[in-house]
Amino acid sequence: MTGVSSTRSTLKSLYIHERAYEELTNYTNFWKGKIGASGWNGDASWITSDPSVTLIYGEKPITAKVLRKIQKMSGDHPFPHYTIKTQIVWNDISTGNTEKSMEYEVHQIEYVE
Amino acid sequence: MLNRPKISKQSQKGFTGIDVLLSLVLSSFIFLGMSYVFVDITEKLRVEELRSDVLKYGNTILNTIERDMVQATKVDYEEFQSYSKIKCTKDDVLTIYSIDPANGILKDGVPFNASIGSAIRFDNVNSADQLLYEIFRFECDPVGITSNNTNERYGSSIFDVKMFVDVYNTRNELIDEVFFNRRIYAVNNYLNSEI
Repeated sequence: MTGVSSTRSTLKSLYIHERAYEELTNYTNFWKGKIGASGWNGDASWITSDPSVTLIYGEKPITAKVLRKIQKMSGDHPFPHYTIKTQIVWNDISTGNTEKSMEYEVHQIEYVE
Repeated sequence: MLNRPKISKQSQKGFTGIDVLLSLVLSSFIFLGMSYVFVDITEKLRVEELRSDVLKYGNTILNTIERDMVQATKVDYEEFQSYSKIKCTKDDVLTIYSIDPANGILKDGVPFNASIGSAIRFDNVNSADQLLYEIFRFECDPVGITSNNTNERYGSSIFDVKMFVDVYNTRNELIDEVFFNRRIYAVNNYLNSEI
């Protein structure tokens, strides 16, 4: 029984991890697209005020915080160039609510039409 | 009269009726407990197997939809209550993604799992015609104007494609809900849209 419970919670944790990866990719793609379309002023520090995302719905929903830090790396020649850092943070239920996180660092240019 | 042999008290040692009854009751409890554990473990493994099938199915389909939406020069969508229809046009060829609860996601009217070369399956009913899982929501919505986005043109070219799948146990009770959410930037649709 203990073995089965342990396996189940590990599988649940893996599913949550997968969902977190999916949401971080969504969030990163959103900002990549947005910067490509209309640029950004740049952030001095991590922005933590974006709305949380839901990883699991149901009776005990699990949410995660998404953060970003966007920096303008070069000026306007030939295109403005940005570095986008994104992060997702959630509580892992299978390991006694320990905090887990994942991070992306990607680059993007602004399309100047 | 025959002399009945006397049995000494020492050789009368053995199980009494109460001993036997008690051991029967105890072994019944143990047997019932073991049966419960066995049934419970079997059910839980079955649910994990179903969840794994659903994850593979959902991710494969969303990967394909994402690829088509990104490459499409025009992306349209229609909504019918909790079901959406996604229309992608690429090189003047229209591809339509829709849903049929009995057959899952359809590509141009053909169940995804039934198309040639498909490596996924949609076995949501068992041999006894019992429902194992069902897609109860398939939605495509543009992100639009949000606190993070005031660019209307961009907001109408980035979509949230969501899929909710309910998983049932052998007593037909809902036991799990698998959720997928893809945010897809239809970049060609954006570049082809009017400024």
